[in-house]
Amino acid sequence: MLKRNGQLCHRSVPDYGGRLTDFEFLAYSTAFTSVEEDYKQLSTITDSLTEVEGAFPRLLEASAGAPNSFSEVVADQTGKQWSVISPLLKLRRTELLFCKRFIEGDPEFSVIQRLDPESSLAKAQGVWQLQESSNDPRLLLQDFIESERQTAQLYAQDIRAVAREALEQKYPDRDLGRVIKAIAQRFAKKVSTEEQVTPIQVRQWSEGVRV
Amino acid sequence: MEVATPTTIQPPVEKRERLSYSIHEAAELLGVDYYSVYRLIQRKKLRACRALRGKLLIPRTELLKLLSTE
Repeated sequence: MLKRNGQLCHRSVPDYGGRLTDFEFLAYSTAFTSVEEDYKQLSTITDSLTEVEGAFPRLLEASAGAPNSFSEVVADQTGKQWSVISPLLKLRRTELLFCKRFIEGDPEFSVIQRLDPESSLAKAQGVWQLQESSNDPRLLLQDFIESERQTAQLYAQDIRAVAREALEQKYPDRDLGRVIKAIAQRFAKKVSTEEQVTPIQVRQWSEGVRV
Repeated sequence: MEVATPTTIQPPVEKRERLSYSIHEAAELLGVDYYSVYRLIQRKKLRACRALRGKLLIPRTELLKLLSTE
């Protein structure tokens, strides 16, 4: 059995190939608990994005529907009316919706964000915010997924830095490189797209090919 | 003879306003999910800076700008 500083390295944690000592395991647990809520939120986001990727054919099919086939209508910050095709991402205080409207008979598609009406941001800028729009629903959805995945990466990077700062403050004289690495790997795995949908699959779906 | 009322001398109240906030604090102030703050940064609607260890911080002025209704 491997020993480090006289301590057995026998503890394993998710998504990390190495083994931690009891002290490192304690530090890992403390640090991870402080960012657990973020980890859960990131999981919700990445799961939702994978679902959207999986629902690509259905979303494209739905986007071809007539204006009266959608039940909910919302108005963005400029007052333009949009019919809701489908929700894309739902968090506790925010929702992102895939929407459609017609301008002189031609369809236009958008992603609209709904904020909590009681939030300071909604009071300052409005509850409904147009995020992006296009006359091509396929391009819009692809861009949405790519952009949200980049945001999830940014989130994961920041949480790693937050966890690192918390560890260095709590245990200033200890070398916790492995603990930091273990936490970083867990977050990296969460936002990694390797085990999810490949770009080829997305392209095939977007081209109407079912795999 | 009028007796002067003793006045308590209060130390000057030093009002220190924070220069920047963490993402969690910014989310609380804006009333949004943590992820929404990262979305705002990613979409360049909110400027962030990095602390020593790479942690993101939001300058107070940026939050005020976002919350100003104009």
